[in-house]
Amino acid sequence: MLAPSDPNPRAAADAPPAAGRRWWHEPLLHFAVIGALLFAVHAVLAPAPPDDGRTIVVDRERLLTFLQFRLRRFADDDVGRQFDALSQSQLDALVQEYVRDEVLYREARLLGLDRDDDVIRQRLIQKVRFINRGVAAEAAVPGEDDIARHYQAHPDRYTEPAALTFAHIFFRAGDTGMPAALDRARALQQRMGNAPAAFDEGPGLGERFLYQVNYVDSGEPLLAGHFGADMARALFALPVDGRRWQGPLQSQYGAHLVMLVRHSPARLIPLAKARARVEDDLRRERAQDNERRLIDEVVAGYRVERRLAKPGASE
Amino acid sequence: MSIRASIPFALLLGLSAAAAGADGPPSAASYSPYAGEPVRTHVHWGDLHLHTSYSIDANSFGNRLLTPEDAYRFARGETIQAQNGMQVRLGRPLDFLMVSDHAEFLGLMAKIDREDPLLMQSEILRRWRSMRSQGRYIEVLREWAPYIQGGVREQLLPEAFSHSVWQEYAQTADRFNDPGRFTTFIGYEWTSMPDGDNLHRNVLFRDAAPTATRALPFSAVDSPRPEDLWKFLDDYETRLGGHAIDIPHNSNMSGGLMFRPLDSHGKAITREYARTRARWEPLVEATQIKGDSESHPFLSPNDEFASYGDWDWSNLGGSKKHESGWFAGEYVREALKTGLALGSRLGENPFKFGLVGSTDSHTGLSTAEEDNFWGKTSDREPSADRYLKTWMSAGSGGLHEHQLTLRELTAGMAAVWAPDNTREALFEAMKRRETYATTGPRMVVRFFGGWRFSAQDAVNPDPARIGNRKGVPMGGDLTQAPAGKAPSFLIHVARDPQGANLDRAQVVKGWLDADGAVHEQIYDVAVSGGRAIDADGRARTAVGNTVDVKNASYTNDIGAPELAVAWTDPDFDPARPAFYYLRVLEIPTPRWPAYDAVRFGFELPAEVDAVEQDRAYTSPIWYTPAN
Repeated sequence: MLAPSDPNPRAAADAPPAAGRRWWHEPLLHFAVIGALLFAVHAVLAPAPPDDGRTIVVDRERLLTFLQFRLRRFADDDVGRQFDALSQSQLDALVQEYVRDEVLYREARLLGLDRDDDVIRQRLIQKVRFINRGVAAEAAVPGEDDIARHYQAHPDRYTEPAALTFAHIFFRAGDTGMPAALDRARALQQRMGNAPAAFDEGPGLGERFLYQVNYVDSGEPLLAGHFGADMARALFALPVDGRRWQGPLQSQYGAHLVMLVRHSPARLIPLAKARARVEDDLRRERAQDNERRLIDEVVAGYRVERRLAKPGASE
Repeated sequence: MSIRASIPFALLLGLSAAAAGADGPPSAASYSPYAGEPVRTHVHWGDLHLHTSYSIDANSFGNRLLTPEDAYRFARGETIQAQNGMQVRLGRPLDFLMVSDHAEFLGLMAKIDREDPLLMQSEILRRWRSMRSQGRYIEVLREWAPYIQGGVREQLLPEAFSHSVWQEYAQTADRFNDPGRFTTFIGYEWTSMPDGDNLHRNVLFRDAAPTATRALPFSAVDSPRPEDLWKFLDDYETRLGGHAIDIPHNSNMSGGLMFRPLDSHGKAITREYARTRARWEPLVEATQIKGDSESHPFLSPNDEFASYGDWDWSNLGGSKKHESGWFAGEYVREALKTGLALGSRLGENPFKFGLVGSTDSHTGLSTAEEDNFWGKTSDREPSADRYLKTWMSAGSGGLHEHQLTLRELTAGMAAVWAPDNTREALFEAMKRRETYATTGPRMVVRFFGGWRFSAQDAVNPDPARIGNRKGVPMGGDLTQAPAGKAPSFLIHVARDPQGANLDRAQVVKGWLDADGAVHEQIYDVAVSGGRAIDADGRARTAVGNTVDVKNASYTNDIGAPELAVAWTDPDFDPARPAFYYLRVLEIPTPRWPAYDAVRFGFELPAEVDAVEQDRAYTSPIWYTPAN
């Protein structure tokens, strides 16, 4: 019913199977396909069958397909053999059944029964979307300039988020309560005085934390999960200082002394590094745009009559 | 989630899962402060089992639009349009993903509707195309069945087609592999299921596309026997220079075949078979949407938590009703026990595997979140009535026809302890089994075995360092018990940072006695809320339940955010082989149907299971007596 079920015979003849260029790569063909799609969508939505709708052709091929679905068997030879072995009266009965089904089908469509059936509707929509998507993707290959423009237009997508590297000394609130935990933290700070423990030794002076003793290039989502959103915010606000245990900060679990050795601010990934990703994104975005446009074009061919109490936004 | 080990002390050479009498840190003094320090690992979360429209069954069940690219984008946190038109996004992105579409006619369905001329030369494929155009998707699926059930050994697809799809598929994985941030693995599912008995395995490559594509995917059409798959993997490593493993799953629907002590010809396993299998199968997927394979009440009648996600009515094909004789070959705990016996007899343990979970979702959407569950197949994406549907489309499922979608678990996740989020680091961690499975949540589970863990170690501020210095992590080995010592375990579990509190941590022990019989015992080693642990090692009091089904909510007023303990086996016999793994239980939380009822505004029938206890299973630590 849809155009691609009739592959371009020229392409099939001159394109060897292994060659990259297949029939749907032909630009001209895209127009043909889009045109055919318009027709197909029209054919689906419009109730009238082709020609006068009053002729039913019965041939071997149609009857074979009919018989296959009847028997739920699709090994052609078997069904073919069975078909050829039919007696005259069996054949007549089959033709009669086929004609009756076909007539009922056409009448159902004439009555528009297919339109009220959401199963049929969704299936057809899906088929058209699938074909659309293939056509749309093929027409979406971007050039270098496009890639650079897309990169500049969406810095947010190609930005490495801010991240922290730090160790922490933890004091559990637990049974003793938060004030006591804060006191233990401050006491340790004082004891260390001008000789603070090293980055990887400090955590050993505190108590056991649920998750990690240090965090390397960790972003906000992870830190908010482990320490809570408030403490994550406080961490990002600390100055970098590899010779000091800052704080104490508070999480829902207790008090933390923090040695922050690196704060990598959010930074734009250079285009050279992000290029493959940008191209991917652009290709996908264009394919989606193309698909939307295809559908819009078809929709534009229809006149929509709003019969609603509420007027539309543009009215 | 990028954790690059750029801090010097984390940069240590591969002190991997060293088998050990594990006594004491290296003693010789060195100028280097880092020598002898363990590598610092972090837990990475992912899914090693996901299907897209490139799989024949996924496609036939309604996934016509979502490709591997969509799957990778979704897993790394992007918003995607689902098959049903809704926008969908993960609560938390994954750290790694393997798209594992079925090798049998990979990508065929995604291309057949475009009538690729390469495909239209085949009469069968032309017929499939025409059946699909008439909406007879499930019938195509049924015609596919003989190819994976061992009846038909014919390669349907032209090699040029298979090559181009495989190239595209592998290159897509490479494109989305982003070391340090998001790792993709090239892989596929080998879908052998003779007579409907599930022997499925996922093949996972460490390599990038140029190496991985040196061989076409090995499919059940090539051979339905696992031994032949392992030959293929051996050839891939020795001749083609790559690295790979395979991961079995759904042993629970294998008709008792997955872990029986026989090879695929029905002959007793040999030492060679055992060695080969253990080499290629360091991991088993123990939990997923189609049920949980850790344990079953039939095998473990004294384990009140054994019944969870039991899919025990038939084999996977739905062709045979389940028989009680199958259980022993279907559940992971029993297989680990069988492995001890075989290992003792053969000198090689064929079932020396660690554990992961994964989804096996066929929607292209890896969702293991209870409140964001997109189902097993695309025709079961969220809707007001999905919980009433049977779990397979009508006409496709034999004995499955009466089983409701309701039985689907929102499971599972693969947790991997590795120094970096890269293909190499994760792959090596999987080979050494430093992994655990969860049924969805992301609780952080540390489990070390050694000979001299003390109560003090459990309150140590840095349990990971102590654990690695004094013992071996999950997946490791203990041997040469010091005189008078029993294995001790350092255990530290923290709840999912965004999830529910913990009920308890349990050590599951299996052992082989002097008469060659195997046994199991469960020890509650840390429980929340000050509940008593009886002399037999069990806490009989349930943790309670805060779930409000009507609102699909719970509170963390019960349970504990964290459990930590050093535990020593009270019943150790140094002459007997044993394994130990940790099972962690969350407090009860709402299941996905409860969220459906709230979101779609309907009343959930009282008989629907709306509450569950999610859990984690670590890889075991084995004890093997020295000869």
